[in-house]
Amino acid sequence: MLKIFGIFEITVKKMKEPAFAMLLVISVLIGACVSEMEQLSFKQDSGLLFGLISLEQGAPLLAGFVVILLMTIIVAIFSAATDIPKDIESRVIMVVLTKPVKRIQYLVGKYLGITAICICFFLAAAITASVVHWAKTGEIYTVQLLARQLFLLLALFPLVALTIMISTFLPDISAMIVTTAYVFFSLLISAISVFVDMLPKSLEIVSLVHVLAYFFPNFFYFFNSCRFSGIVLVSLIAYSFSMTAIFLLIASFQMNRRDMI
Amino acid sequence: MNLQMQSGRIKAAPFIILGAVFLVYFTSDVILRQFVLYRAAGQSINPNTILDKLPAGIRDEVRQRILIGELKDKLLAATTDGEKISASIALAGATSDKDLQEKYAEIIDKYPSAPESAPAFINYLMAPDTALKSISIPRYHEYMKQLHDPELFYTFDGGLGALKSRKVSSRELLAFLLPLLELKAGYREYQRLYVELSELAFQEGNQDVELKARKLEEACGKLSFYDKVLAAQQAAKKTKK
Repeated sequence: MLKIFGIFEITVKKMKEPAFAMLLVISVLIGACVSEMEQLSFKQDSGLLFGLISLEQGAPLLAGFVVILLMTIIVAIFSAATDIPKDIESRVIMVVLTKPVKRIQYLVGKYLGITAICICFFLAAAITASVVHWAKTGEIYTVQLLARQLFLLLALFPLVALTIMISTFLPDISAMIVTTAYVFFSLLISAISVFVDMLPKSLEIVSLVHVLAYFFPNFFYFFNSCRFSGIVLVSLIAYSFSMTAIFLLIASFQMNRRDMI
Repeated sequence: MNLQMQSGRIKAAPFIILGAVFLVYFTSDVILRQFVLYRAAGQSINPNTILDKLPAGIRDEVRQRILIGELKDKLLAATTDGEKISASIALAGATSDKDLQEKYAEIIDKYPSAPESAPAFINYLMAPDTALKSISIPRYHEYMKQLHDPELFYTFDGGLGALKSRKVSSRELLAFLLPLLELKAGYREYQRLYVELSELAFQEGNQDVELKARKLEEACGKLSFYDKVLAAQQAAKKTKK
């Protein structure tokens, strides 16, 4: 556990780098800019999106926090795609692995470190947005409303794991491109799979699309509104962590068989 | 031996963890998917609203496939003979005309007395020799004996239309409508059948039939239309409750 924490610490220290400090300032500014954005809503004519993301029950999702999440996703893809390939390229990984640190421990440490960086970005922007909102309107977001916005972070955990997994196979720039393409393809497949669920069961495409959909995470789930005590929230947490575990297991398998020289 | 067992357990551990993780993944996905679909149903999302955005060529093709899929689902879910007949006719009709003709013939053989078989009987009433089947007027009358309104009216009206389209003689048309004289009509809709009967009897010089038909025609004119009778029946049922 200490070894994982060591790797985690080294990764988080990156926040001191000027590029990350600059990104943190940008995220704070974005947080301030989006503080006045209203509740996220879709009209009936939004088509499939209206069906995929239901927002009429439970605590609402604020459009500003969705923007903050998107910004954090960019940071997550950027940092997770470059971290391990950079370590391999600069041979830092060889230095780390010559110590009594297992590859899986290195991987988990990296994952936790990058996730922590992303959470910092998200929270910095979220706190700024809340404070600016309070300063401008005199209203304080309720605990329930803030909790709902924080649940957006559940989408971040598998995304970081996914990017790290891809970065164990590919160099940094390629990993970034492939991750972005994979995320977009996931959104497309998820939308199609939910759409075909609305179609008659006798259509032969239904089972084929479902099988395909299991290879791509459905990020739309994280945007649905739900009650905090229900089975849906438990499933959402389970979905996020199981996906994260799957991606990290694949990454671990690749790290163990990969030649680091 | 113990060491071997221990090393076996260590090797099996990642697979057990992987299995458990996948189980959690699939289970949570199923729950979340059902939740999304439940919400989508609540928001009355119709696939047609999405299909409308597709190019016309693809849209029609997809719509046709969806329709066939829906009818197949309906057929699988059908429990009574009536539901099965209606669903199979609709499915065959959506597939092709040839399938529909075959289905009609099959239904006449399989369900010769079901009220829902009426479209099949109408389709093959006095059909030409080239058709898969042909139903004679007496056989049609035999089938009609088991029916009650509104199916009875529908088979008279539909049968008359089918015979007219086959351009049969007025004598045969008269023979087809003759059972109307024995019938106690309950709705205004029957009036036009009696008008048809009296005119045919006049053409054929059958004064007795013409006179009877005119009387029944007049009597029918005083009756209410079917929808009004139905509404009155339902209102009476409600007040009884």
